[in-house]
Amino acid sequence: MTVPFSIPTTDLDYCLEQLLDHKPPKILPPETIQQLCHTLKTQLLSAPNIMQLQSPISVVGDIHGQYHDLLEIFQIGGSPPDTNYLFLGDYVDRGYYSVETISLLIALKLRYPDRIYLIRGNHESRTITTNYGFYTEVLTKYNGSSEVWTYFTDLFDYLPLGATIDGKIFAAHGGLSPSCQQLDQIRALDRFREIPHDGIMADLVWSDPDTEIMDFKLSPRGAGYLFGLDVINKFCHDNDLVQMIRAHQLCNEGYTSYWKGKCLTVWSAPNYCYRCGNKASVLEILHSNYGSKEQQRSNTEEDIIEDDGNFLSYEDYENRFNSLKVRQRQGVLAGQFFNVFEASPENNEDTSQGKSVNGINSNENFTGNGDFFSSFFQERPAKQYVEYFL
Amino acid sequence: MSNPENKGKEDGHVGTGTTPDHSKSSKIFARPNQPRLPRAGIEAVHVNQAREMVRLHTSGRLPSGQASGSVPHPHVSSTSSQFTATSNITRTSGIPQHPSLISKTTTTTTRTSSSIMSSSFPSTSSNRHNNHKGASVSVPAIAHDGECNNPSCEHCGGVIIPAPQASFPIEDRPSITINDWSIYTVKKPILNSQELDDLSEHRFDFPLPEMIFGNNFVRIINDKTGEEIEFNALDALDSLDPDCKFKVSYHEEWLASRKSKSSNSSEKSEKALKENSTKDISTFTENLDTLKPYDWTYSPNYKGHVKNLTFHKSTQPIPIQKLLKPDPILFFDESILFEDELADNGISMLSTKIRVMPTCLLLLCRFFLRIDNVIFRIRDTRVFIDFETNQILREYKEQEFPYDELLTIVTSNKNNNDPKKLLRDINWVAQNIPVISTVTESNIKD
Repeated sequence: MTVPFSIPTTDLDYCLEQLLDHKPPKILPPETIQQLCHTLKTQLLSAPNIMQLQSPISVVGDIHGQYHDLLEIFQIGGSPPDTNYLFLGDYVDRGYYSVETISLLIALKLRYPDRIYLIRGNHESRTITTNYGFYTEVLTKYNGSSEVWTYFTDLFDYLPLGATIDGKIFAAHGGLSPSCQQLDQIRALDRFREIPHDGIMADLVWSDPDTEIMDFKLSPRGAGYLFGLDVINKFCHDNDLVQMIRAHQLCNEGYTSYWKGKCLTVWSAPNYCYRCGNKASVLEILHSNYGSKEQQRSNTEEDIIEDDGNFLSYEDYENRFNSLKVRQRQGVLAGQFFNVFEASPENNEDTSQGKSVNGINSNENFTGNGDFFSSFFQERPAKQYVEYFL
Repeated sequence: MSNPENKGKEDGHVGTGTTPDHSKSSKIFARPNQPRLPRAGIEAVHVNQAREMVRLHTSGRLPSGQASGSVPHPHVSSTSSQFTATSNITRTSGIPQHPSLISKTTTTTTRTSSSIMSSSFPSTSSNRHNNHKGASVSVPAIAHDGECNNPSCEHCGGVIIPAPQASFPIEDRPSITINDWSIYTVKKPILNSQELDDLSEHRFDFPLPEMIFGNNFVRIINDKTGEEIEFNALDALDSLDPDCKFKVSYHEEWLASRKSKSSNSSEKSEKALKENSTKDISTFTENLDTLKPYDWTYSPNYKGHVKNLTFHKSTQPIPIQKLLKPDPILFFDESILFEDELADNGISMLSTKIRVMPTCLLLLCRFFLRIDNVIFRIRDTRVFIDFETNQILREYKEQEFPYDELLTIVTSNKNNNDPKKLLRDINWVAQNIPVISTVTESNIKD
């Protein structure tokens, strides 16, 4: 192999510039993608299945190819390398910019390896990406060649499966598995493979918490698990954890707190699929000193403050990590804050162009015939959209 | 497999914050305040010209009060007529040519027929709003309650959806009255957790679809007789079967491996954990209950919610010829009622489309189900109303086809290197799978 094991910083900066400084972003050529993926694979080989990370860090949920909303996250949450990020997977499929999104994340990971961490979601898989749009998007953007898709999906096999933050918080894409009681069981997995249909690896990216049940329950659709409070309590107790953070489930508010913050869902794709109108969030974790005296004192002082509704004032935002009011409303632990945001202007543009009002990834219709007028008509907002359907 | 490399890296974290301090942010991510200079070349010039034309064109479509003052009106009309020719061509080619209602809606209609309202029908632009081939039209509907941001177009009288000043997320409530009939639609974001909690507490005892647009609806009312038909997500979810015979494609495999492996792995893990875990781990993996069964495919048996209206079986089909006429569309809206991705095993989606012409309207409420490697299912409810006779026709049609067979058909075309793309195209699937049953009803006895 003559491919070098590291890429010069200047080259990485050039890749970032291609993606960030152009509108629409310029996609990277296949050879570049190949090299980026190869280099990252060699680096990920030595990464453990569960990475050990430290606060402060911002945790990001599903992005699903909503590239401009990812940039929005960097706007509101601070940009790398000034802010540490843990991404919980599901970078591709459904949105129109999966290629740009995953390219940017890979370039960032290579450029700032100690600031950006990526773990695997259920969409980082070959079968899922052929069913949900990423494969099609690659064909469209790379002249009908699936080469780049192969590079990306091969890389996906190397992504770690989870992370711990300060040793107290466990983060994964989906949830817990009935076959796994100890984090060490995850650490011992051979993860360098396609996500299987069953077993710990599958459950980590697929399962969901459910407040109505106890124990694990089989999902009625015939595969996958739901887990209840006793499961997460036992898992936390046995592994000396206080909390699980995961993504995987859409919620209108952009986040969900289960069991008073024992389990959090963070969702980072606003106006999901360009039609849901939902908010999104990133979870900012400042520290994990839940028991410190100072913390307890400030808790009692603030107990008096009453929650006056939904509006977060500037003062609230300034004190967001200390305000009990904010913490109670969001259902998070001390030192945590869901930074909620809405869709980027570009997302709104794509929405109003009616790209996906009633279908999934209908972007193929937009490549058009390539003549001048087709591009003109595509520029029109969706107001005129009428259809002589039967 | 525990991490040797991370220890060293931890040092790097000290002193870094999650504070959104923009001044510190790297320049790469700063949104440029000023647009970068366009690269010299024909492309940029053309695009800018196109943008300018779009701007003129769209501002001409606003109601006169809102039309931007800087744009002189004559200019606007000249731009729109300039494009009339082009869009007319698109329109005619976009109309489905085949007379069969059942399966021949061409896929291309989706985009090509989306001709601009104001320019599609130059002949009608001379008509006033209130006079479309003798029909009496009012926008918003006569009984519209509250504010309405969806005016009718100056040129063609079509209702502008989404509203010109719509902000995101879109919350539109357009309406129109034609003769005796009023049509209302509402589009809002997915339900929030509060609304979902209320629903699962009081109305539904099964896990709800991932995305419920529970505030969306389409309602058609006859203002004189009070006849009413409405489509909304919650009523549709009330009509589900209690159970579902389908399982995901890898169900058997999954079940089998769970039985054998789980006991295996629990032995292994017990060894590994030794004294660590006193609990019998096999209790975790065996005898797991399934949730109370429900139709996880969310296939509704739903023909709409009716009031003051009785339907009788009818032999009369929906008059295709009338619908194939290129009458102006005064009101077109589509929305999703609910959608679930079946945990990435396919898609389940209920959506509505409505188009209102001067003499009639057509509403399509379509349920589409794809379980990957298992089945396709479509359940269509069409409502046709003739504004002249006040007859309502309702057609309910079911289609089903095994996934593998359709995939075989698609892959048999060797030029197609992305066969699954077609399988995601709802219109294409609807035209290419067989009909199981069709029932037509009318409010007037045959």
